[in-house]
Amino acid sequence: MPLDAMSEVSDTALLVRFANGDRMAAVVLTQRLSPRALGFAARMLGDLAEAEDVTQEAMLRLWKIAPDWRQGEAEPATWLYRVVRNLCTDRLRKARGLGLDQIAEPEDGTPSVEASLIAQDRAAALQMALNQLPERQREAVILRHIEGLANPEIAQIMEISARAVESLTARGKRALTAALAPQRQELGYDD
Amino acid sequence: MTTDKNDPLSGFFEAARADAPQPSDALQMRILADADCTLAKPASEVKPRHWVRDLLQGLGGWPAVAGLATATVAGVWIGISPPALVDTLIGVQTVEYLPGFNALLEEG
Repeated sequence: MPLDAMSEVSDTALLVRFANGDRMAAVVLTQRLSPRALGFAARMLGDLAEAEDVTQEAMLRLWKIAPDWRQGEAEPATWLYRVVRNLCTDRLRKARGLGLDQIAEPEDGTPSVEASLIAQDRAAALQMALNQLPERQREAVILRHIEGLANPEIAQIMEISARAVESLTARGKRALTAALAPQRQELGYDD
Repeated sequence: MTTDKNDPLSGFFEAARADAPQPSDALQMRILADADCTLAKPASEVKPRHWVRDLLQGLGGWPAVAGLATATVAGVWIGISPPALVDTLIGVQTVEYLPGFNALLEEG
């Protein structure tokens, strides 16, 4: 099946096709799912190189499970987010063992006054604030507000109730608001 | 995704979404190389064939082997101690290769 014709095929159907030896299905799944895995991992870890490793490992696990994929259960994207989450948790635990001194600092802590760079500075400031959040609050906030997932899907990924997701998101946002408040003016907010 | 303008964090989240990292070509190549390896299945993961399994399959599996074993035992038994009917049917004088065998069986 040509690449264009696969745009309407569901992730689950593509995974089944891949398990049956269709390499093109792997190309489409990589295009669809790897940006989401990478985005989540990068926000969780705050390190692009590590996020790339996590993304590759998570996708490898997806390829391996393809022949045993049980249709009707989780969506491949949900399953992948869960794997990325677990891989990130492992890496963060190891990093905690290394101590805070070895966590990379941003290259330049002074936000640029150039208007075109304000958005990047806001993203960087948010990332620094996210890094300070407890892990579960960080996961919930990233999945809800950056990845744009609905609470029931986040609940599946985090293996908690939707109500617990709401609570984690609310607490995470309160902490982020407090952490970012001092920088609002230099990041282009008028208040 | 909708954004809440009253949310003090909405601008930060918008900026983060716009600044989302995209997988590099190199990363996508690595991911697809893994997919190819998974499809190809390395030879080490393929179970080596064993001559016993091949022989069993050639004979028709375990049920066929059990039948063969029964026939073999019966053949040996008839050979050692042929029933009188066999002698009558083939019409020849049989020679006892183990003359004391029957007596031994009867004694137990």
